[in-house]
Amino acid sequence: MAKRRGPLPSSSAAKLLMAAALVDLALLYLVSKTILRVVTPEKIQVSLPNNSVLADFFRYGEAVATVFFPVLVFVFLTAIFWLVTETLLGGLTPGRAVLGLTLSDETGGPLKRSKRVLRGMRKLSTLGLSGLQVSDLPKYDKAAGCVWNSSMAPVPRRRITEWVFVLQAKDGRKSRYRLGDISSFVRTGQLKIGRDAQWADIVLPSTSLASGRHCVVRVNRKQTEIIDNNSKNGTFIGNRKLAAGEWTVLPRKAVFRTTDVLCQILS
Amino acid sequence: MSLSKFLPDLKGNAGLAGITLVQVVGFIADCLAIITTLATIYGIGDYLGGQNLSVIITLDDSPLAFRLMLLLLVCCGLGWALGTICKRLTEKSQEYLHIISFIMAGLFALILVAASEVIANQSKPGLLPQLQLFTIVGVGIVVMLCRFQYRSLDGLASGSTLELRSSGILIFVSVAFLIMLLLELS
Repeated sequence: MAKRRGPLPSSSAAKLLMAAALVDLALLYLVSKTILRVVTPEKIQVSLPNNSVLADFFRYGEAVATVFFPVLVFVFLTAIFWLVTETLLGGLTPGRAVLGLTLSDETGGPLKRSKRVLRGMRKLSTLGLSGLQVSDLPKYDKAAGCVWNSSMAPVPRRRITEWVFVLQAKDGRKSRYRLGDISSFVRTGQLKIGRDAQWADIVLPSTSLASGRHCVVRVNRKQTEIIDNNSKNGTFIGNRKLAAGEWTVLPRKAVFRTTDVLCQILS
Repeated sequence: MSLSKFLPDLKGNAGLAGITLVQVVGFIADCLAIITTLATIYGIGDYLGGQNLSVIITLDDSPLAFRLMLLLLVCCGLGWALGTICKRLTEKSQEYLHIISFIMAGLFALILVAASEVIANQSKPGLLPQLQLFTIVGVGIVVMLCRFQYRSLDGLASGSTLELRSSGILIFVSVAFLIMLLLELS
C-alpha cells in the first residue's frame, strides 16, 4: 500500500522536528559514548618535540583536549552527521525516519537541488540553532519553500470536479464519468440519475429496472447526500433501503444501488 | 461493510449507520491492547516488588538479544496503548482531556525508561551502554506505533488535533531523554 502523507501545519511540523532532533542527539550521544569506551585520550600517542615553546604549547593543548575530549568527540560526530544527512541524504535523519517526516516543495513534489542547497546554506549560517523552536518552522525552511509531510496529516482531497462517478450495470460493464465533465452538475452541484435521457445526467441502461427519474445526488465539500425520487424499486446503500423524498448522507466511497445498477463516487 | 447491514434498527440514523465493521473491530482490538499492556505493566511491577510469579525470568545472565526481545515486547504494548489512549483523548474538545493526554505521554516515558533500566545489564557493562541503547530503541518503537495510531486515512485529523498529537509526541520524547540523562548523571 502506498504511503499517504499530507502536509503538516508549521507549528505541528516544528514540534515533530524538535522531537526528531532529540532522538538524533540521543543517538549521537550513544555513539560517542560507545566510541569513548574504545578510544580514550591516553590511548592516543602523539610524539611531542622536546624542550621548546612548541612542546609546551602541545602539552597544554593535550591537557585541554583530555578534559574536553568527550565534548570534542560529540561535536565532531554531530558535524559529520549533519553534513551527511543534509547533503547526501536530503534531510533524512534517523529521528525523522522514525517520525515519518519527509521533505517536499509546496506542490508536494521532491525539493529541487537548488532549494536544498539554499536551505543548507541558510541553516549553516546559524549553525542550525534557528531551528530550535517549537511554535513555527525555521526561517531557512520557509525561505526554501519547504513543506514537511507526515502520515499523521490528512492528504488533501481532489477538487470535486475531479471526482469520478462509477456505474456498474447488471452485466458487469462499468462506466466512469468525471463530475467536472457533467455541465449541469458544475452548475447546480446535483447529479440526476435515471433511465430518462431527457432528465438524467447519468443515464442508466434501458434494460435496467431503475425508474426514469430514479434519484438525485448532491455533492459539496462537507458531505455527499442522496435522495430517492419516489422510484418504483427503491435506492439502497448496502442493504438499507432509503426513505423516498428524504436526503440521506452518503458515506465516503459508499456504494449505492439504484435497483440493479451499482453506483459509487470516488473522491 | 456498514453496521446497518447487521442491525436494521439503525435505519435512518446516519451517524450510527456510517460506523463500519472495521471501526468496531479496531476499537475492540484497541481495548484488548490496553488491557494486555496494563497486565504487562502490572507484571513488571509485581516482579520488581519481589512477589512470586509463575514464570521467573532471570535477567542477570541473559544475552543482549534476549533483553532486546523483552524490550520490544514491552515497547509494543506501551506504544500501542499510548497511541490509542492519546488518539481518543485528542479527538475530544475538552481541554482537561488534552492535559490528561500530555500527562499520559510523560507517564509512559517514565515507564519506558524504568523498563529499560530494569532490562539493561547494569552489573556487567559491555561496550554498548545498554540503558541509553534501550531507551533510544524503545522511544523509536513507541513513537512509530503512536504514529501508526495517529495516521490519517480519511482526512479526519484537524490542525488542532495534529498539534495536540505532535505536542504529546514531543513531551514523550523529551521526558524519556530527560529521565535517561538524570539516571546517567546519578
